[in-house]
Amino acid sequence: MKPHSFIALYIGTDFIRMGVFALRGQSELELLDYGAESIASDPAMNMAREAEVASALKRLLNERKPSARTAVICMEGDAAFSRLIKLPPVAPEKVSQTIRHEAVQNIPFPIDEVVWDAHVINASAPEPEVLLVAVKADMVEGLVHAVAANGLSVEVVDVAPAALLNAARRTLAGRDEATLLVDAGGRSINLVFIDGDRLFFRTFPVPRSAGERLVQEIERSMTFYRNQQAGRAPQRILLTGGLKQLDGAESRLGMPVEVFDALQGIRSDKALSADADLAVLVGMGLRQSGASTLNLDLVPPAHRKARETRRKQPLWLICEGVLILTAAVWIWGLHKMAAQAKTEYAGVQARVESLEEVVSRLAPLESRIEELNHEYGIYRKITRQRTFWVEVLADLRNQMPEGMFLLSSDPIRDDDAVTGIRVNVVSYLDKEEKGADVVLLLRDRLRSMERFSDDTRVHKRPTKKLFTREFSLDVLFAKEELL
Amino acid sequence: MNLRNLKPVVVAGGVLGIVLLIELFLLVGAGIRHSKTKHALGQSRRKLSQLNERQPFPSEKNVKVVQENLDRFSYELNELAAGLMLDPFPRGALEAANFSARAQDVIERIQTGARQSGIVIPDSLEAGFSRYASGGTVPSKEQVPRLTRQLYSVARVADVLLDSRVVSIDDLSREIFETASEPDPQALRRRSRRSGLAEQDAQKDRRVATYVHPEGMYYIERVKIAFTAKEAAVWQVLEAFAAAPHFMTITEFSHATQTDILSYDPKAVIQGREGDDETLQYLSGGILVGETALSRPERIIAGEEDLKVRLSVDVYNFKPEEGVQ
Repeated sequence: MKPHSFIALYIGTDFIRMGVFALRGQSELELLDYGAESIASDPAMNMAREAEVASALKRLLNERKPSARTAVICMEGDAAFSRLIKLPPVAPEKVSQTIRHEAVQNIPFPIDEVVWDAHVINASAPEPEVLLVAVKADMVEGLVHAVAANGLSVEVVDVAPAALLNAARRTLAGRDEATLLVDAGGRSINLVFIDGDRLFFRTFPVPRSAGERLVQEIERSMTFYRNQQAGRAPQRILLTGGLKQLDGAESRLGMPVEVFDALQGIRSDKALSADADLAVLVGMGLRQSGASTLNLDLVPPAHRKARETRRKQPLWLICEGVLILTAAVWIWGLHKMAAQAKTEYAGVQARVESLEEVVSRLAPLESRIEELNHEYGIYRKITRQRTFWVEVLADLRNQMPEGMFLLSSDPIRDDDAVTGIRVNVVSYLDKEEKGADVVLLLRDRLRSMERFSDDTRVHKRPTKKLFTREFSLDVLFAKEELL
Repeated sequence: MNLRNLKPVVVAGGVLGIVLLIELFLLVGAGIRHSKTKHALGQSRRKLSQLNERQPFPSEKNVKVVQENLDRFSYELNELAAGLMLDPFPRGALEAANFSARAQDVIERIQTGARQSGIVIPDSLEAGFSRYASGGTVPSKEQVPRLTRQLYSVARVADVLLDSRVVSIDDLSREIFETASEPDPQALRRRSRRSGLAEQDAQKDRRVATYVHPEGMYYIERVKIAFTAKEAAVWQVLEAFAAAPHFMTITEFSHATQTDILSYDPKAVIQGREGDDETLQYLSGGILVGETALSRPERIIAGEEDLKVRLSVDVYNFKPEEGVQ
């Protein structure tokens, strides 16, 4: 697997130092390349400095040609404001809110004009200590722009004392005594107190060549740390930043003075690292390897957002890949289903065609049967008409009670069609049953027959004579019987 | 955000995006293809289902069965039709000049038949052909086909009457179509409604027959008759029409019993004591009273009295020859 490589940049007032690191395995760090370039600019002019930093970085990149495009940036200690504060006892969920409140109170700039971060030193303590670090937003943005202008994506912005602390803590693992790390640069000096979990750092505008004055500042800072910050007295001093010795300090301060070997335990080319000031760069490298204990993040909010977006890009690609895969599965599935449907369709269609072929032979026969049936219906109807009147008259005769006869009849017409027959009937009174209404009797008998309609009715009321009665009925044919 | 840093991601994203777009395009295409195939399959299935549910099921066996049924049905129907057409009219049309002689011949045959059967007929019984008979008018060429059919129809109806025991033939008439210059529009409308034809077609029908079946299966010529007969003879006439060799149907029936029983006057009974009628004498003497005055046989009127009957008879001419106008 290809190791993850990145660039650590230490951008000072008049220099840029670059270390190219590779991260192997979980946290094994290797220094692949190192380079430095001087910046000739006036720090008072931010815009010009940004351009100068960009220009110097370009030269450095052109010279070393690193393949990594990810960068972590470290600024000089004198560009940052730091303060160790004690938080009042608050509920854990209110710690961040309190820290922000303290930052507003303690940072001597409007909070919107700085980029700041905090590190809680002993979170479990009743009154935890918090290290506040702030840098001017325009300055850090300028640096980030300058780095980004050279095609690098900025992952982390930190300050040199924090990086030194991370570098030193790795080598001091397992040792309990307080240590002072002195990073003496050409223009300023960083003092980093490493005291177990506690830490404290100060930066003075004193060059490494200041000699006596440098020792005095170290002495004053130690006193300040002990008295004001309630820290333990350092038991030894580690030198870095190009300072190989501190004349008279050992005897005057009463503790051993050693040169700090930042590359201890880190793979590197000895020729490459000889005489190089790598402590800050190693500290930044440790940030990326996850072996650091102080992780300040001073990336400006706008860049932080861009960084988050950048970090999510692989996720987007994965999502896109998943989408592609899903779509491919769907396409495959649809093709498969379409193929199955097509096969099934072919089978069904073949069966349909074979049946339709039979239907094509069956249909004309059925059509002919239909025609014949129609013809038969016509013949049947007129054949029924042939005996219609004989049957009507026979029915009338059969339904008449004894002593009754038809006197006359006439067809009833509706429009041109004969819809019934009006019959005049005579009934002998002596043949009628006592109390029986023979008129209604005949009417009801006729109504009960299928041939005649229920609308069959009495047309004329009976006129009773001496021995007979005469009446007339409108005998209507049932609809099915109409001619 | 520096785009140069994102170049690989942008390129990869772009490539993936293009692949995704192509895939989407393919997906839509595959979806449409699948949908079309599925739709076609659905249609085929529905069709197959319809075919499977078809009665009769389309199989070789059923084709054979249906063919056999058709043959049998066709045979039976032909037999039925042949039964209806036992006595068809002669096919050849008369010449206009010969119609008068043929009409005279038919009228004379009816008169002779009536005389031989003892049936009273009026002297003027010429069945509506008086103007053509006895060397009368020669009909126009267009009227001859229908007049010929009417002559045949009248002859067939007369044959039925002459073979029955009717007392008298009081009327025998055809539909006069040649004199009416304009048909009654209302009657025409009724006819067109009945036959389902337009009025123009109905008017054309009138030149052809009383009624023409819409599918041309038959023509009808209507003949009206009036006769007098005893009840038994009336039944005989009705049954004879139903069984005549030439197909005929009765479409209208009316009758009147020729009896005077309802004009029975009790006062006449009182006056009858002076007469020879024993029944009247008994009635006036009080031996017979009220409703029991007449014996049962004396009361039976129907069957004993003459009936005057009027009929409309439709004479059918099945599947007329082509070109008959």
